[in-house]
Amino acid sequence: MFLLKTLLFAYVFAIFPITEADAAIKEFKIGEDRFTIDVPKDWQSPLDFYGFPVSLIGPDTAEGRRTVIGITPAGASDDEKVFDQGDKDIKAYIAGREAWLEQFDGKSISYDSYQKTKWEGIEEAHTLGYHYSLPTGKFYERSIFILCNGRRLYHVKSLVPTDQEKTDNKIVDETLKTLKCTKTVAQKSREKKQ
Amino acid sequence: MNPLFTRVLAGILCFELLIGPVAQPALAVTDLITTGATVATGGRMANRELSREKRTAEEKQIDTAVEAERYVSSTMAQNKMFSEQCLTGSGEIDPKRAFMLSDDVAYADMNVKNCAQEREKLFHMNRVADELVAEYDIDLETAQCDNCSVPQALQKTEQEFIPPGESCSLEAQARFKKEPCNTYCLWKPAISAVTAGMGALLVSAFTGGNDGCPKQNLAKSTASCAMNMIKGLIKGIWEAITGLAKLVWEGLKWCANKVKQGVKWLFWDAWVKTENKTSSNAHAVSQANKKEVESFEKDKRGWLKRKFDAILGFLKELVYVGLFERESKCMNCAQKGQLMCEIGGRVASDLVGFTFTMGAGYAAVKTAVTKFGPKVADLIAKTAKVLPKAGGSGSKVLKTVGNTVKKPVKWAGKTAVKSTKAISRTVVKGWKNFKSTKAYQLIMKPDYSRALDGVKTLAVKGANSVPGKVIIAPFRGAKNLVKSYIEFDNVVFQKGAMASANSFRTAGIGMSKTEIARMYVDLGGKSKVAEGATRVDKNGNQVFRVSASEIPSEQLAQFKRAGVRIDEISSEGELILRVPTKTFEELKAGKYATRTNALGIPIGSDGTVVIKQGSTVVERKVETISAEEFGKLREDGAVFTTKEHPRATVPLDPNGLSAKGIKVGNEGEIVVKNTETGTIEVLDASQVSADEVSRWQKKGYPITNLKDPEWNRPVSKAGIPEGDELNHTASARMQDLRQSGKGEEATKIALQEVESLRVLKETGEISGSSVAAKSQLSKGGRVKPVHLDGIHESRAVETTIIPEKNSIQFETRAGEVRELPLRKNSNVVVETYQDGRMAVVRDLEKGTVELHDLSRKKTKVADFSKNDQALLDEAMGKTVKGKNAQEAALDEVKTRLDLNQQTQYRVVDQNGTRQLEIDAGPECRPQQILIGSDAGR
Repeated sequence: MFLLKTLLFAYVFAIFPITEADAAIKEFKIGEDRFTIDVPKDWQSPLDFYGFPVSLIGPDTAEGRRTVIGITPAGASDDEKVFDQGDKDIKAYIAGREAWLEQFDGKSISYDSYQKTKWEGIEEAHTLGYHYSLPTGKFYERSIFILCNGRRLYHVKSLVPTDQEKTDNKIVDETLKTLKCTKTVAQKSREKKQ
Repeated sequence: MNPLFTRVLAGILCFELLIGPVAQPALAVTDLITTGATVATGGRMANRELSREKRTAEEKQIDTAVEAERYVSSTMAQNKMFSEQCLTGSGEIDPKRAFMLSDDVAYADMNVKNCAQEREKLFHMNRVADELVAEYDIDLETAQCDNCSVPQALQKTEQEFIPPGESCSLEAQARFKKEPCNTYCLWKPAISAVTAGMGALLVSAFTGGNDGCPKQNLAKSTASCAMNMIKGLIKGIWEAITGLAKLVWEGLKWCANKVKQGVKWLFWDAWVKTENKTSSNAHAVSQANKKEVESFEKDKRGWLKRKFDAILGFLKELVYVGLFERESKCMNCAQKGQLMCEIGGRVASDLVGFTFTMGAGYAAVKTAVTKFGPKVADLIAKTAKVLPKAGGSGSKVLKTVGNTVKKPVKWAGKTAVKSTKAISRTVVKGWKNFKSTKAYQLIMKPDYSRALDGVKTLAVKGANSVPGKVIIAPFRGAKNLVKSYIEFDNVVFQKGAMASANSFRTAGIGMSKTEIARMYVDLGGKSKVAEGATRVDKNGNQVFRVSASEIPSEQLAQFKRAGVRIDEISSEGELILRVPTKTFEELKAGKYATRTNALGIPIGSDGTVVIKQGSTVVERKVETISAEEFGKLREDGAVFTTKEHPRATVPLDPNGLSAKGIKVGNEGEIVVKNTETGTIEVLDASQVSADEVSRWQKKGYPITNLKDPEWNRPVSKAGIPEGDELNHTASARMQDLRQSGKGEEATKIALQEVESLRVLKETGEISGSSVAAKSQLSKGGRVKPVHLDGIHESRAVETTIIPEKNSIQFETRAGEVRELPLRKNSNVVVETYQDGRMAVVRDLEKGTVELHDLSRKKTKVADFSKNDQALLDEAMGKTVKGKNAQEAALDEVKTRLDLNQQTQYRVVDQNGTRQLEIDAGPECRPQQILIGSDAGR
């Protein structure tokens, strides 16, 4: 009996990871594309809040800083596959971040190297990130350019206060991996006609 | 007017011009007199402000008319030389130009080397000369003279006198001050024009007529500026809500560059602004609490209005205190409107930057909205009607508004700079209207040149900086106020001046060294404590992190009386004080301060004391209470306070809780410890009914008050009544754990421990006390494993006590049965590591841990109060053969991360902190894990 219970327990956990069981699927359309993403439990996902057409915001914290994921259409396409042609130079990214930090009396701590990954629902994700400190605290910020139907670029920004990294980095990673770019009805219809 | 002095000076000058340079001062004066200059009586003084005390030692020795005349003569000679040597063709002073004095000029300061220095010196000399003319009734005949232009400026009345460091006369300042000036009225036509231009969407926001605005001529420049400001506001809010413009723009730019330059250009370089924009936005979002987001989702219009109110509140603070008053002292109403508009436009045009830099968003800014605030906010709110659709399909209306608000983007660039230059010119022109003779003006107003430089700087900085940047700081005469500037986003704010600090505080900016800290110091704190740890939290409270021992007890009492929230944050007695701004001002004003007489009875403002006892409140004159009566009242539990106390009229125990055996505290409070939830609540006794108390008492909740030194001792959720040894043990353990750095985990651990004991007690394995538990265990009781916190959680194993052997038996994860000797242990928990090679036996009662290296039959006893990582380090580093602590820790971390043997890693030292950097493969970013004492936090 005990063995049966254990097996059942293991089966349930294997099929339904905790994050999925607790998350709510959010569907939204930005730019020309339709997306879905799993919003973790206790997170908020307002639309058009502070410039992000879609944002996911972590729970309130005692320090008053919350983890944020913001998604914005970049208004361009990478139909020439720039990334594939070896553009992995992040000097410009670093220079831009340093200039931004300078404005706010901040300092960089460390930079991640460029990464190209593939998620289940996203064909390509190009990521850069860095840790930095501001007078208000330390943060881990990532910029991810994802490609959607027709290699349209979308910009994803994640911001995690360092004191929440231990828990939230994983949540952000898992959440982003649930991001799926799907075709709109109009797109499907157009493709059908073609 | 001062015609006599004019004549005197003119006479001197003309005499010199006619007969040549004064060979010797004495001769000059003599000649002056002999050639017809007469000394008259009753000459008027132009400026008597310079007191005799301010004269130099040499000047003070002037005590004859002859010497006075000689001084005046010398001054005028220098005036002439100054005009000849220091003025440029356009009549400006060239401060760097060398200045040469003739040796024959009396009172010459030979240290003067350039025109700037000469100007300073001559300013003083002219003032003294003016006084001497009046003092000695010097009257010189106005001779025929073609070159008397220099002294013309001295023909000024006192009203026309321009105080040093300021840009217009006292008379002009008084006139400007009297002029009715309502900046909203100034902006109204512009606002109306803008809203009308935006079409039906924004109509009627400002079309109301009866708003008290006089019909006045509005300067065109002001109207234009106001229009831009309103556009800027809408642009700022629009961008904050849509956020698309810059990204799309960069996207277009990127595409264009791709075509132009092929694909070899750097991708990330093209998206710098996108990164900046989204970073700032992300920070703004990060600061929004759940409530704000909910409020946004529920009512975007209301949210926007509050945002806008916050900006206006900030502007009001910024504009109307110190800086603006000083800057606008010499401006007419239209110019004031223009200046305010310039400042406002910059601030408003970057809402996200504003929010990001202000921190905490609108909640922090509770300043009252200016008269025009609600109307403008309403305008924005009307714009917001369509905003929920932003980013969506893009209706016609949306596009209309979008196109309209995009226009100010251009304005924020070139036009803004042009506008800044324009206002500079306008201001300068305004100032010039109050001047007469250029040379005198330059001499008599040492700061004038600098003022011009300041204005130029304003323009230049505007031109050189990024669009939208403006320097708002006084450049003239306010050096003593301005210590430094603080720069946020594209706006530079004045920092350090009292008035400006108010603005910052109201806006919710935390600064470490401001008047806030100083005021705290005034209230009794110590500067080194207060200055280092002052900030403003998201609710607008001023937050101090201080050491309790540093605050005088009376000061702390004042804080408590004022309702300041005081949280203890460490066992070392560090406190966090959260003081609402209003309370802070009240504290500063001494509202909560109390005086006492010799007996220690507090004295209210009217000499009375309020005596509270049970349900009665009595007010008496302090002097009517004898020492004997005072002592008796205290013995009877009376509380003494003053009528200024916020709870002065509230009885201590209006609901008769004392009849239930409850002692109400001095502040009318009771402390209820809920043993079911483990919470401790401090309640207002006047808000608690006797029935409620009865219910709590039936449940066995301890009820006490803040006078009880152990009022905040935690209670267990296990429901064990206070006083029971188990509970006491748990509480004491919790304290120990806290002190040993376990922090918030202490509660969890202690409760787990007590829960374990409770289970043992319930199963009859132990009696009610831990002493008994020891004996029960020694009889062969079975100890259930306790899941402790941290990394050992899954390693706890079931064990059996074997009393006859005084040993403990357990099964390792590898399935092997092991037995360990116990040294008089009673309540133990065993965990294993390294597949059973290591066993850790924790004695929950004694607070020790035994580390058993089973492979080597070696035992080490360590202090259980160490944190898990230290314990692990110790265990692995000192008992595992051939491995040092770091490698062992690495093994453990790898196990926890489930990394395979191929994983690349390295140990890095970052500022003295060891970090384990693991490259977990191409699909994952590198992980950095702290190892060492900070691990696991």
